[in-house]
Amino acid sequence: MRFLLGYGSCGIAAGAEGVYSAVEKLFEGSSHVLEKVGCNGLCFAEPLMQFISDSGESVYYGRLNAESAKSVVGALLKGETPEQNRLTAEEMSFLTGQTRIALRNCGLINPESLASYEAAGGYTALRNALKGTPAQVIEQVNISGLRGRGGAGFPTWRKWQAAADAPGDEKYIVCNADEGDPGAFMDRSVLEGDPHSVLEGMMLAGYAIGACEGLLYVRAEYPLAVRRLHIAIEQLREAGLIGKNILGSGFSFDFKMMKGAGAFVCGEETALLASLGGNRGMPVTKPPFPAQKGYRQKPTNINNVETFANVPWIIGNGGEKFAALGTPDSKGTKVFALAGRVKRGGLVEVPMGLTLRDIVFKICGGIIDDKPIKGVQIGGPSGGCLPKRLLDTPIDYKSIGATGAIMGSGGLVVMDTSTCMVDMARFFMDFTSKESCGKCVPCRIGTTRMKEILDKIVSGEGEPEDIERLRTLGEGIKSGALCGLGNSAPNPVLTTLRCFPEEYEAHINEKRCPALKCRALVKYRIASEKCRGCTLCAKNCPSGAISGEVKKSHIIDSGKCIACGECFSRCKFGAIEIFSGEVESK
Amino acid sequence: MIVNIKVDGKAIKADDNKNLLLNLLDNGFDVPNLCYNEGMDIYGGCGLCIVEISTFPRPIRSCAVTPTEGLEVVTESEKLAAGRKTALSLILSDHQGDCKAPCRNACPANQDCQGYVGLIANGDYKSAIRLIKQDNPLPASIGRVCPHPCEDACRRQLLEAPVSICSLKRFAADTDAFDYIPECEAPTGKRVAVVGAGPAGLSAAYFLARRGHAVEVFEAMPLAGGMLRYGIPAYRLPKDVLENEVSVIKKLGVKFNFNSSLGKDFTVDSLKEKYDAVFIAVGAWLSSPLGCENDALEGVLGGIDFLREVSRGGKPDIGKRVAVVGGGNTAIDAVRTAVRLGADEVSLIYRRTRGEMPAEEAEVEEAQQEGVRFIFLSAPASVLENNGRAAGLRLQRMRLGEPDASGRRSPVPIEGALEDMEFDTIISAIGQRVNSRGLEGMELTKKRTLLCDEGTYMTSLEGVFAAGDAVNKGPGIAVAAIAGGKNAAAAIDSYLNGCLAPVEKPFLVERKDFTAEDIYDAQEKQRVSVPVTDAEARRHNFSEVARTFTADEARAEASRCLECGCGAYYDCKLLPLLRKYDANEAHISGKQRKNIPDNSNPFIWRDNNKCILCGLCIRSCKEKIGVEALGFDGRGFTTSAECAFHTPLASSSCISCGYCVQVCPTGALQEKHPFVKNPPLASVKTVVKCPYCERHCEFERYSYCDSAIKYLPVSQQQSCSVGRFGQSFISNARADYTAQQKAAVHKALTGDLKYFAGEKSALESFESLEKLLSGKDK
Repeated sequence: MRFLLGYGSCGIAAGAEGVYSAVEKLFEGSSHVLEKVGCNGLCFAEPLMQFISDSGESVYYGRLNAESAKSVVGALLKGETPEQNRLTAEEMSFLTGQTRIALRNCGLINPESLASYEAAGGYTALRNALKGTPAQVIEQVNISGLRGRGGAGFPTWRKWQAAADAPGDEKYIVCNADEGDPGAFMDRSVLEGDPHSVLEGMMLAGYAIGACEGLLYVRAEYPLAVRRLHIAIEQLREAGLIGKNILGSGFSFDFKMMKGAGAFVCGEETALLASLGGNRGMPVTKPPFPAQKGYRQKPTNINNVETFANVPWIIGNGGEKFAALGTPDSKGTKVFALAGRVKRGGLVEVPMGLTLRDIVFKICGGIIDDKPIKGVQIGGPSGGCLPKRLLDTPIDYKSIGATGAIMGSGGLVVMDTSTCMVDMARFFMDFTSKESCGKCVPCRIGTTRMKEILDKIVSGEGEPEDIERLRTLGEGIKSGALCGLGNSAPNPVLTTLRCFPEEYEAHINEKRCPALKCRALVKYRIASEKCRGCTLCAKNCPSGAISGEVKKSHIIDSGKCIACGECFSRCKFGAIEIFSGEVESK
Repeated sequence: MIVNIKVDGKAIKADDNKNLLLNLLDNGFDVPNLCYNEGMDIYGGCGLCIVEISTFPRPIRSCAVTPTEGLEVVTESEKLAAGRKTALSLILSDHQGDCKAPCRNACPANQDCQGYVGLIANGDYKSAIRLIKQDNPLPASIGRVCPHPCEDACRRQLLEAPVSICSLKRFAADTDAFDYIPECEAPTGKRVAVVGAGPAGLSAAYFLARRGHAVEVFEAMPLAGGMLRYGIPAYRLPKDVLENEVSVIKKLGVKFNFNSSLGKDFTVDSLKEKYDAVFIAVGAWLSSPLGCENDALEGVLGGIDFLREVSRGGKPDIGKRVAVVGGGNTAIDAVRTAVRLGADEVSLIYRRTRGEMPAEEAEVEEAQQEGVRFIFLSAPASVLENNGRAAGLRLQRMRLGEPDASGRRSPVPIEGALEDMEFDTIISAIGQRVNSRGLEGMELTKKRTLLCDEGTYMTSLEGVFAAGDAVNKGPGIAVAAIAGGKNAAAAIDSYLNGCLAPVEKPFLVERKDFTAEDIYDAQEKQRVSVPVTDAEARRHNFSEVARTFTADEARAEASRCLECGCGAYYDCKLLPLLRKYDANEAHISGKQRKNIPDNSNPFIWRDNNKCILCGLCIRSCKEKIGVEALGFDGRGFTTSAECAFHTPLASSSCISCGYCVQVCPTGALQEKHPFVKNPPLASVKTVVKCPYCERHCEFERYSYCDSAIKYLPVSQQQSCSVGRFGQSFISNARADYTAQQKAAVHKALTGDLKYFAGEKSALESFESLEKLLSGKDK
């Protein structure tokens, strides 16, 4: 019997520490132990414990707290299988619908144990590869069809080949672990749940291109990932798996880790390299590409965490097995971070080519409260919005690209009709305008100008010309910006302009927010027939806009109302109505 | 390696050791760029050097491309122009400053006020008059009579009072004493007839003559000057001053035919036959009648008719009680002239109140001092008659109603409020009209003025141009007529060269949100008022009321200039691109970063409001100088170039070599020389040797006439701060340096003290020299 408690940052945040200390004692004197594992992606059910019986059957218990955990573990230790807190079969379809390669060990092994990783087959790929040639490694990656999982989707083997072909003895492998997209956390989960897979992937890459050192650029906001990576590297050193002449192969490799300072742009490879070199994180023009001149002006190969995590599996199982998954253009699997108005949010790894509809409805159970879906934001601030009618788009690089969005690092934010697309686009523009490195004009000033126009629109001051202004500016920034951040920054606006023009028009022409989200465009009123005069709304109104006598219908003074929504959330009788754009009649 | 590439269809040899941009620039292709500098790392910030190349699907920064064999490049296309326009408009949307000072922008003749005020402050009066005469042929006259819109725009008034720009112009002109005769281009063989010798006609004649054309002026009156002579009383503009200025124009070769009147002695057609172009500036010489009952009675005079008679030496019998109707400058001239003719009781009748009077405030005040009575909120209802002669006015009392189109509250009659007043003479100064005699066959406006194109100044007759009071909107101020003549001359010149081009105001960046808070470090300094003769003394004669500044007064007043116009105007790389690609605020606008300029360094002035973040200062300081005094700070829109920990430049590691100023494409970094003012001027370059040490490095000396502007190391190389900024100490014509002081400086810099680049103490030595010069530390 194994008891696995999700102990990633997300699990800890949800209360895993409390659960652990509550049940720890139950294992005293028992032959069983409670293992701390990384997150297995079922974020919607954290804190989460997986119970694996001696016969290998798994049962999942979710949404635990100290009390429920004690009774569940107590029962399990007695050999019972309690129903309390057990995830339903429907909920379990979240896992069963997935094919896990990058996440293969997440939630299943102890991330702070090399033995645990090796027990799961870790480092066999490296051991075997070191017996062959670097070219064979690149060949397998080529056969696998693996493309960069950081967002751009450049064929991995080509990058490796270019770095391998570049002249010079001093070469570097860099792992981009500066995961910055709002809503994306797959890299963190991998680093926290299975750090060795990333290190092994980097070593394989290092062997393939002839590099001597692997540099991990990890965002400082991931302290647990940093700690576990640190532990993993020390374990490798102790085990003699890094250093000079590894396993007598003649291959020497070591790791160095550096913490990012919180700049989103440092996820862009040239900015990352600048930061690694101790300079301000600003992208530079390409060419030269990092494969020619990267870290310390030497040939450097940069890949993302998820890309590296796939590599040991590919080398271990053969490129063809990976290539058998997915579509001809986009092979293998991809991890998505599901967030937003979806019932079951978390990490989902599926073969490429699955449709958005399958992910949202089959795996994630559809929309909270079964509201109508409006669309999906894919790829974070660089990505775009896909409306409901494009839900059957297969998720592969080509099909997503054709919609104007990008695959990106894999953030998927699901939106229902309560999401205002203009406001959402404004959020992303605000993000990129603040995260621009300040180097190139289109990004530094252009994103701010777009954000200002969106501010104007959501505050009800939009003009019909603003739509064209946004479009021209957006296209100008896309083609004129220096790096990927700027090139893709207008995507959230451009895709919503294309897919949801009616929302922009409503804001601008009718001064109406269809989703009732934009404060300046909504008004609140009390339906007199529903109001019981409980005074709760009036007591909680921060601007003193609500008046009325006890047990008599209340009214809102729209002149004083600041549209904060406090009354709406307080009212137990559904008497508060929000409306937008209508002429106030009552 | 040399590779063959094709650029805009032209085959060229490119060096693949250099990037494509440099290859294009070397081959004379005008590819715009703001963040590139040869010898520094490629930056790619401005995004202007984009080109289309055969190996890439989208426009690409040429600075990041290495030329390869067979590469095809397009440097100009609609797509590229659109991309550049967007980038430039974005840059502009966060670039705050004034290319030209508001005073200059406010002047109809676009005179470089900041330039000549600065030169006067520096004591270089000779250069000042040369600069003034670039734009104004009659500065001594205009410097006396102009209502100076420049001063209305002067930002100094946010502090206390505007700079006396107009009087400083007069000072420069009077100091020159009509000695400077402007240079003329070689004769073109073209002949132009100018009809009218008023300010517009004289101005056109002057500028046409300077361009080498043969000009002949036809004037109906016996002397030149137009309204300046016959409309403005001698106590404001002595006639010999005007005559002297006209004589300079005569020296340029302009021929004058007096007593020769259009429609009587000659016609437009007759001129057209004999001349290659004709310019008409006949002015507006008819007084508007009062427009009430009996307004044609004897004893009712037209304002300009009255002034003309007096200025021709006449002494009209106006009796004891004189009323002048009107609130403009002509009305004031008429009342003050009536006072001087000996009238006991002179009244000015105006239908609104003093606040609405269009006349210049100082003039109104002076008239009041001279005893003129002001009757406001009154308009003539009829002229009272006695024996067939005017004997008084029946006045309709008014009150102020709603503002009219001009923004002034309009007068509304108060029903039944009438009052009779007795006068011996009534002068109507309520407007002027154009005498259309001789203008037959040319299109007129509804106001019966001559219609001419706003840009080309051409009338409905080909080859016939017009400006001044006679055209379009009708009468205006004298300097507007000067401007009309100047602009028309430019248009006529283009016409004579076979390609008529309109005169357009070029695009300039202007700050519209300037407040007192934006004046950071100016000390309050009271305006030096123009000295005027005592009221009692002046009311009995036509002697000039105001006198010219003394040199001390002028320099003190000129030193009050805030130098609003950008010091880098003539070196700016941004402005020509904004114009070329038609970038403007209407395209893209938004919030701007607000910064307080850093004036701490004695030689370098930093204004982040103008910074476009090309990074050249930061990069050159690091890559070329190896100092890293500046770096990037912050991110996103608020990124800025700063010294470490936001310290002022003076407290940073800066060695004051000035290299950052050299590479700055805008005025975000400007040099400060030890002059009172650093006016931006179009300078000429000579090569000199630095005297400070035995290396004797070569420098380019930039100067305007006698004034040194700056010294730059030849070929944009680096230099030490002593050579870069020290040479102006001894070489410029700063008038307050005594011979001993100059000698002391020279000795200090060449003898006892020797400083080279990189030594911080160089700054200290300059500071002690500054003290030495100011006499504080002898």
